[in-house]
Amino acid sequence: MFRSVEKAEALLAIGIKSSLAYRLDYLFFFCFRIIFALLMLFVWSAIYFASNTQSIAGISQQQMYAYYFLVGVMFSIMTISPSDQLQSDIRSGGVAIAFTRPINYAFQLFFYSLSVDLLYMIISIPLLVITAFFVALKLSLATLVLLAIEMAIGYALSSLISFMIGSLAVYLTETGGIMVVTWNIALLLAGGIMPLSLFPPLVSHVLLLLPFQMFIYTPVSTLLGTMTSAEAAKEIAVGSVWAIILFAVASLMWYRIRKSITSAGG
Amino acid sequence: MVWLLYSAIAVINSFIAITIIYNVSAGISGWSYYQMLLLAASTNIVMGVSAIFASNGGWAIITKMRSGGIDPYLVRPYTTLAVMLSNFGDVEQLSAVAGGLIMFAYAALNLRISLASFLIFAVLFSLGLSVFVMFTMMITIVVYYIFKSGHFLFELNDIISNAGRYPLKVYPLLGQVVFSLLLPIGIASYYPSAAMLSEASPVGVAEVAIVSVLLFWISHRLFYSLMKKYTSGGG
Repeated sequence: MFRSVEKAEALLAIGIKSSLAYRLDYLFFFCFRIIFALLMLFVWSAIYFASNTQSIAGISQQQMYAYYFLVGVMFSIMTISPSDQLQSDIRSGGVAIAFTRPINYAFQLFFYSLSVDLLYMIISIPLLVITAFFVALKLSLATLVLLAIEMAIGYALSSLISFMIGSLAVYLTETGGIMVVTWNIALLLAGGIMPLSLFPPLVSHVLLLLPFQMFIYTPVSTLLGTMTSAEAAKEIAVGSVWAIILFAVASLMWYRIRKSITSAGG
Repeated sequence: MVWLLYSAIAVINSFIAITIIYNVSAGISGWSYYQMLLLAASTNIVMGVSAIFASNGGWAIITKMRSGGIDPYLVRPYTTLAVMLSNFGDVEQLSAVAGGLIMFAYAALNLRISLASFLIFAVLFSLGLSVFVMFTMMITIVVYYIFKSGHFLFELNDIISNAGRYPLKVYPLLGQVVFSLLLPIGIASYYPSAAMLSEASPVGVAEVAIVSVLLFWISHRLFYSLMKKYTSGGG
């Protein structure tokens, strides 16, 4: 077990060093998350003003502003790194070489991807702090524990989905398009465009049973306090079940793909 | 095929977002549901047409410039602008344009728009669209010179697209200036739509038209002056 931890640390360190070559990307990520949140702040100000109300679908104006800033924070959970890396390795033949190494390929892929995404998560922390300060978020220990669990499950789910799409590179010439389409749809279903509670009740209920709600809506609602601990626990259970299902599917896919991988050479 | 779906998703997302907003609230003051749909559709059409000429906001151009792969295109017996417009686009963005047109038609059928208003819209929209495409080409070159990377353009494209779906008046003055003159989605989408829906005065229409021509000229000049300084990326 200790050797696995050492390997994970080494992979994280390599990935972080490699990612820091593109520092500007992280700065852009941070700045544009703020700009997007500000745009939505102005839009919803106009909506609340026109509606002459303090609350829309149970969400106050301040909570709605905070929602979009926190969407920017949670955006870092939605990873495409496993898909990108896996596709690249399959197309270049690097995956065959990876099998010869004394590190499980999936383990290597996960921690390398985590290193890339960890920087996005770290750069999102100031955004969380700024939002917490201006909106006076009540960050109790229980809230933080729930948040940590939700983010972990959300990241695991997005990694698994990204991995499964990347695996399709064995059969398809290009999976980037599928990844982008999936993530754009996921952004809507995760509450990245607007809170899931604004959708019609039946639609909202269905969306809360899908895995995507763990990416954005559930963690943000936990932070805002618009979701009770009991509801959060229920969503965590739903997310956990999806994680088990997707892990099983991803494992089966990878087992079959390992048998059929033909290296592109090089 | 997948990219066809991708470009249609932006249209679907904006339709769903606006529908939900008007389901749960009174929307935006002075703008009905169908007017908002029409504005969002105009923006989607603008973004789609722009992407047909400069894929992903210019990402393909920057990638070629970084590797020197653009050099063979620059020696062709055509203007630099013509070469770039014709070689680095994404035809699959036609689905975004098609989706935008469908949404536009759906909204327009539920609004009483006179022929005169629509003609004013058509003129201003055509001018604005030209401005936006020229702006896209210009900003691509500017970003290349400053950052040597296209990632900035992805995010910028997203911001412009999101901002353009709502009336400019919801933003503060600075935002209105930015999205009218610096990132001219307002010129391309909002002002033509507003002119059509609110029966703009001839003076107002002329002002927008003149600003459109000016912005086109500025973008055009800046594009060529920067391209004159281009040195090959090698390869």
